[in-house]
Amino acid sequence: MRKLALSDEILLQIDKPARYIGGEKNSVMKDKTDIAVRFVMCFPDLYEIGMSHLGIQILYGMFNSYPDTWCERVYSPGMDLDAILREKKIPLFALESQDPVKNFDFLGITLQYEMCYTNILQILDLSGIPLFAKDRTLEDPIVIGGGPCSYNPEPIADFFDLFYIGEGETRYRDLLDLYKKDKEEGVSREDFLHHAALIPGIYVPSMYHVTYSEDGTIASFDPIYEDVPKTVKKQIVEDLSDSFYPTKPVLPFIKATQDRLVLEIMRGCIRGCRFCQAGQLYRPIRERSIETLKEYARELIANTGHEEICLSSLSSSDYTQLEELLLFLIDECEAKKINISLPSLRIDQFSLDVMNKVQDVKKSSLTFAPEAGSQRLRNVINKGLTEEDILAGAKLAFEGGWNKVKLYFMLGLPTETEEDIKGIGLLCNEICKTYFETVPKEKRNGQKIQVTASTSFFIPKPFTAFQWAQMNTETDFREKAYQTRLGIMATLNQRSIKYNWHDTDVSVLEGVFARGDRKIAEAIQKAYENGCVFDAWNETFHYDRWLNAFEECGLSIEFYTTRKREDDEIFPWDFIDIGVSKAFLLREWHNAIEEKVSPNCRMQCQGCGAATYGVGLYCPGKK
Amino acid sequence: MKLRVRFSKFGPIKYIGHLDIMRFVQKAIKAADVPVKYTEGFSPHQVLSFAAPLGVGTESESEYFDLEVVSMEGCETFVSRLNAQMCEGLTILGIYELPEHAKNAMASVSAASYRIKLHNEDAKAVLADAVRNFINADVVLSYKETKTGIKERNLKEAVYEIGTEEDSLFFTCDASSGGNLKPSALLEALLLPYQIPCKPWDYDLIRTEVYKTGEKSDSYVPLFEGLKAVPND
Repeated sequence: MRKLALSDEILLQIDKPARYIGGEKNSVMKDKTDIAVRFVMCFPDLYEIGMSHLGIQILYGMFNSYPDTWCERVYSPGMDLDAILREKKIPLFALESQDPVKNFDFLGITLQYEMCYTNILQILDLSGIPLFAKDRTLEDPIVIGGGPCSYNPEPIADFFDLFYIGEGETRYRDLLDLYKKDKEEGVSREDFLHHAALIPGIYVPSMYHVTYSEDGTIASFDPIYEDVPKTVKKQIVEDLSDSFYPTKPVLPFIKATQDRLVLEIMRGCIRGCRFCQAGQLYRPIRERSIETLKEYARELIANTGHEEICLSSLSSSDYTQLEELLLFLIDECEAKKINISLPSLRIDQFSLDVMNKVQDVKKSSLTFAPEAGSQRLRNVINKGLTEEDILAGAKLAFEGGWNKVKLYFMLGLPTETEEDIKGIGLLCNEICKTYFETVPKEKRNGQKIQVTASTSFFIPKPFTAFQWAQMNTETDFREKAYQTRLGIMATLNQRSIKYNWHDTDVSVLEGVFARGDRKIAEAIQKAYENGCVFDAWNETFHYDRWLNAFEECGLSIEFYTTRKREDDEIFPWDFIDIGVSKAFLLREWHNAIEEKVSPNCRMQCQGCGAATYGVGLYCPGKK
Repeated sequence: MKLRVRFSKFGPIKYIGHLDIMRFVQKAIKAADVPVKYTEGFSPHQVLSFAAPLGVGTESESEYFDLEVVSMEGCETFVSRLNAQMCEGLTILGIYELPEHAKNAMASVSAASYRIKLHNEDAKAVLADAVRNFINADVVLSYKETKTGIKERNLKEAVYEIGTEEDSLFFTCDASSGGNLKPSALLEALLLPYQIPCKPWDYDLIRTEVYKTGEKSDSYVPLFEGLKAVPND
């Protein structure tokens, strides 16, 4: 039996001790004397959140398929254990071996959302690893970041030795081999980092020097050595049917937030919504073959005994063989009594039929994401969903017995006017009207239509057409949420419409981190020292502490959020090449202002640049 | 066809609570492809019943759950198939056929036996003495706070057997749904006269068996007794 890092006395007094003991089914134990590289993969949030993430399962499985490597996991300890670790000076440990994180060769941290940044510092701090990369020695693990937020790594660049830009399946082997070789040859940490910077997709912040103009924007961003590339190119899997897939995922004992098997059907998205970062980052679109998916589904079910499976992609309705795949799953899962949890599919007769088969119509709801309340604004954001689409879909669904509809909108989109905001209430009202027109009173069985409208605040993200956009102020946001509510209240069917909106404070900070530069690291460190951690959790988010931290560092929040950016500004993330060009994004930014819609990839190639990889499903010149 | 499954639980997995163990077992049964019976409806679930919940932090040499299967085909490999799906610390010990009208595992439970191994030096020093006093006493009261006030219970009526060996306490007590005795309550009562506090981390707690009522109403036998073992290849 494994010896645990925490005593019975601690484990019996903390919340959910199961988070810290490892030993889950399909977790991997190896004999450390046979191992050349010890990697610990971290999701900087609570275990239940981190265990829901597919990316870590992919890398965990892939690393452990290498005989010379042992990959383990670590998550953010809850605040109760955090206090105990500090008080008793117990170093943070990995779940499998229960060994201190500091003893590992690599600490990989996945960056899934900006609000986890202080949790990274908590992990480093509790592990006894210096917060700043420049203070680390050969005694410390190499700290490497990856995931969506690594596409603008600058706000946290000082805390990392390396970033992996792109999909993890491709270049890690090269990095591990380099590490083994350099370690054997007794190479210094700095020289190893220099060598690593030459591997495609590896970004080493310390190998680049940034200068700023008087107005605070970037004047230059250059490598400090001649052989280090000026741009870092995103790495992608060329053939998704021939890349590692975790068909033996680690099964948490306690319920994870997303407690189900995940079948990733494709990467990328053909719909160029101008606010959406993922839609650009994961281009070009690549599908996994249906044969491969069927095989994975069978293996996943056999290896886990899980009672639920779901499809994962940015837009599952665009998977070319969705029908065949769903029919296969329905068949397979019915026999094995497995629930299918459907992704948000475009509502049409087929998807309604499928939903009817796999879920209880009375309990389930339909989801639409119009994102904006008027057709004009939907054209600005290039969301190809029209009011007719929504009402026709709703009508079909009401005929099929549904009576709950969820709608998602964003407030604060570029060019937004009062009319657009009013449009949210009007659209909700139209949906109610459609219900009353479609379902005669005697068929309602005492049921009522329920529309839930939710708004979030728009945050401009790097590598989108809106990376030039000015973000709204908090006051604007609050006013707009209020206007939305008034708009809904003014409609005839307001009693059937429920309205939810997000907090404004967190959105402002997310906006700062999203388009931040290296200067922000100091404020993150200050905020952490002033007690900020778990900022993604309402009950532990302290906006005032953050405001103080920015003030102490002499940094202006408005510089990052509401400032007008010129077309030719050098952005902190410009050194990353995701395939999609800045020229294309700028073109799309101008199209947005002119309210011009761009066709999706399947209709007509827009020359975004992602064709350079030679593998996109709809890219010209595909291999 | 109803089956009773006997298993043990040791090591770090003692920190996994009863409900999570149930969820784990459900997945294991599915992955082992045991032909379990499902309920009807939109969210079918396995017909499964656990005998007695085991508290977080407690290990066990002998736990039980009952399940219904639709077929006994390949039953000689049920044990090995289920064991192939277990995790570190969980082991299937045996599977038994349950008569059609037998009470389910939970309703059958009448008693359970435990072993408590002490780490606390003060407690160790008085253990033998405390148990002697317990055996000789007519009434040993334990106090439990409930919603309606402090409830008294005479532990002499709830503890059927008790003894010691070195630093360990052995006992068998009431574990029925109406009168389940928490092992910690007995230990507290034993140490109360000595004013020795004993926290859950001052001892290892292991459940050694779970019992049903035997042929005589005041006797108890292990939950698998009298049942026909499913052959195990």
